Amino acid sequence: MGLLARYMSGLCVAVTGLCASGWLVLAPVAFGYRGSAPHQTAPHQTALADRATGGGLAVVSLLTLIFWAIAWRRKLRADGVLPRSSRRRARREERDVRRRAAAGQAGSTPDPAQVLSELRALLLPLLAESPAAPLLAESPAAPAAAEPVGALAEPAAVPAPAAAAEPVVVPELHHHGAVPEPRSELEPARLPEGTPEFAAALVPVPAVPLDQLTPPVPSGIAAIESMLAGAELSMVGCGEEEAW
Amino acid sequence: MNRLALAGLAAIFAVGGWLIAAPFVLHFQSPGAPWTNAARIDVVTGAVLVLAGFSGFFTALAGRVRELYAEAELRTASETIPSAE
Repeated sequence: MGLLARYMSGLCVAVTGLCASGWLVLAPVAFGYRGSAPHQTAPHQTALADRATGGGLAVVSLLTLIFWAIAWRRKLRADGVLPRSSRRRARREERDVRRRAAAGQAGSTPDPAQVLSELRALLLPLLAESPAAPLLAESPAAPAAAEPVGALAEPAAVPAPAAAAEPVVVPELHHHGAVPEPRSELEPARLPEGTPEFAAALVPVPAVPLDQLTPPVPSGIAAIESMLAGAELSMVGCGEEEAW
Repeated sequence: MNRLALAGLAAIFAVGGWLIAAPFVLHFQSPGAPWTNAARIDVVTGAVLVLAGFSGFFTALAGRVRELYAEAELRTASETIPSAE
């Protein structure tokens, strides 16, 4: 109410001034003291003074009215009651928004599931070309169908003698009770051949042809990193960075 | 813009004062003589304008001062909240 009273009082006073100016201009005519005759000096002066004062008051009141209207309008815009832009500008902005919305519908945001599946399809060849493939190809156990491929039971507990026999490359593809070292997923574990630890570590598994082998599943930090990368990519695909 | 609007109200007040004084300043109302229609109209119109201009000016000024107080309170509150955090 205080704010309204302020601007309303200004506007009311300005309107009162306008009315008074009109009254001052019309009063000499209405009350007959125009005094155009040369012998009527005082009425002539009175009429002239009233008209001049009325004219000046009209200009002042009009300016005051305009100033108060502008001030109130600015205040309403600053308070958010009125839109901040003009009608033409608002129409233009609305048209732009509509155009943008139509363009957005044409090229809408891709489905996150679709993005993930495409990503998986892209990553699978890269995983197949990972360093495990050459290791498997070089492994002596690969071509032999009946030859056992061993898995390491406890790599940290086994001492590696310096003058041991030719080491056997054992690719760790199956985690039979082994706790893998970080980032040592694809490194070959070496055990001296002929030792009891070597015999205990060998677990016979059915031989699988090389072309039917699935790519190695990452574990440890590598698995966490791959999961993080997938989550990040899905987050980017969804376009919801705040959700992360 | 607010200053100009306030100045307009002050000008209306001044015009009212001029209208009250005009019959005597311009000597178309002799002191002691019965009042003419013109003098009466000028004085009454001037009194209305003086009253309107005076009340409007101070109402607007009081509203402006209230606005300044509200802005100062908001500023103080916004400054104390980050310092408390």
